Amino acid sequence: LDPALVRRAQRGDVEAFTELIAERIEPMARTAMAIIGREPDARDAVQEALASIWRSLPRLRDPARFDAWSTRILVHASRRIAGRRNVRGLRELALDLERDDKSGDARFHTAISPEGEAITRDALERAFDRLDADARSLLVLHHLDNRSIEEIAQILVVPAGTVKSRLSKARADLGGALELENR
Amino acid sequence: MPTDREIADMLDARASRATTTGLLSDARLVALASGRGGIRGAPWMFAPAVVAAVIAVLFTVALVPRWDRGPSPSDTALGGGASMVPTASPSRPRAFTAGAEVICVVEQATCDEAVAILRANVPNVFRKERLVVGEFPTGCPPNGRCAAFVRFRALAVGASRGWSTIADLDLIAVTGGSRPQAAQPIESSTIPIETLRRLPLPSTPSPDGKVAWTVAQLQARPMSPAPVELVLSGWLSATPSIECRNRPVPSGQLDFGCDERDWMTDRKFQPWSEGATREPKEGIRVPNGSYRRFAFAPSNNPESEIEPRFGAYLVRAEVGSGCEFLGPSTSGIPCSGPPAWIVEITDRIAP
Repeated sequence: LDPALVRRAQRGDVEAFTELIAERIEPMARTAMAIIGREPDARDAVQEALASIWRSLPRLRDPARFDAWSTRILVHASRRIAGRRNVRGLRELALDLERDDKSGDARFHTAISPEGEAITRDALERAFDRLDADARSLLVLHHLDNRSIEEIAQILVVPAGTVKSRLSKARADLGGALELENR
Repeated sequence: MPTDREIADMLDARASRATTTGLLSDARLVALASGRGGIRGAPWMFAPAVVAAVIAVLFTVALVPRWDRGPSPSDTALGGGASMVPTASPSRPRAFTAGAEVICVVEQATCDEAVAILRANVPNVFRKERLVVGEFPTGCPPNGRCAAFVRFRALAVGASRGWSTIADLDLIAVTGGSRPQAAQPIESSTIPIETLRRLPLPSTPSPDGKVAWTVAQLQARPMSPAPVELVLSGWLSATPSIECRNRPVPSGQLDFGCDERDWMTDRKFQPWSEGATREPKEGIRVPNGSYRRFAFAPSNNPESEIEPRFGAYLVRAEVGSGCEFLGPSTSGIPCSGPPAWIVEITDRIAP
């Protein structure tokens, strides 16, 4: 990250802002998509976050913290939109099918857990959708974005211990939700 | 309990469904539209226009803002436009999330009417418009009547979800060569959304003083021998092509033949159900092909249900014998039916 680029964007340089976010667009879209699970809403979240980042950029004191700061805005936007969607009671039943190149048949992704149970990715995703937006955000930051506990603590502005316990609870909740899905 | 690997794989598959097309250009527009960089940040606002634009902004802000206003059966596409009553200013802070240029061309309209037209059309472009800033060029003083074609230029700044529909917005279908010169974007970063064709105003106002009539209002209108031209808003629907004995319509007559049914209705109506035609409780038959010709982004499925489209259309209504809907007589028995409005759509106005 080039702090000078951030400073130029803070001063209102649109080209610098565009350059700054150009390489972050894709990871942002992936994060939002993973949290929300629905493409149009994920795009909304990214666009909302980008608008918010642009407006709030002058208030960012330390340009070196741009990454954590912008991720926080994105996660907030995604949580809000995901939460709204939950309130509406909408839930997609996504069929995660993949075409088998050899046979041409569609099949479910299947993995075998250490306990020997077959876990379909589809069931796991449905279980993930059962979680609240906060738990989803944590799991996405940790398991998809590969962020450490400390980084997540910085993004969410909470102590590392809190992140650790919430992450542990989110994983337990996911396990519980998966059991419900498999019943 | 899922393993870390399984969770990561699931999330990776889920994230891979994300798309980024247009996000960067939208973000740039966001930045340009909010203008934090002043003149440098909004290069289309060249200096000489700034003073006029500021005046226009103040003028337009008082008239234009509307939120979450999508077309509905009870909401005519131009219904809000004619009253010229300023809506309340927004109480919440404006959040600019996207911007684009909307260029309208109007004929014989006051600038107030031009704003009303823009106001009526912007909700069809943006899901939630936040603000429309207008700029009146020379020849259209704020209180004067435009003598000829006047280009009204505005920057609409709205919520970004509408961008997905912008790509589908075509220039309004133009018939009869009355299309004005195509609008050019002022600057490459702006997106020309739509050029409105010449709109003759004022048209015959509806009974409640609005620009657009509803189907029910037109049906209740006392019949007069002289044809009338008016703006009719509602749902335009059609059946798929129906096989029937071909009875060619004599040249010059409107086609209401049996191979199709096109309707204008106040409520959304599907005239085709499981291979059979249905008739609305209240509706006006319009000539065959009206949907294909005038509906916005007509759905093109020749065999199954066709998605009705809401819009405002310029129509020519004339009292007919009522036999028009029966098509040419094959039995030789003269038709006599109660007189009825024969409505021909001549153009689409919005969206």
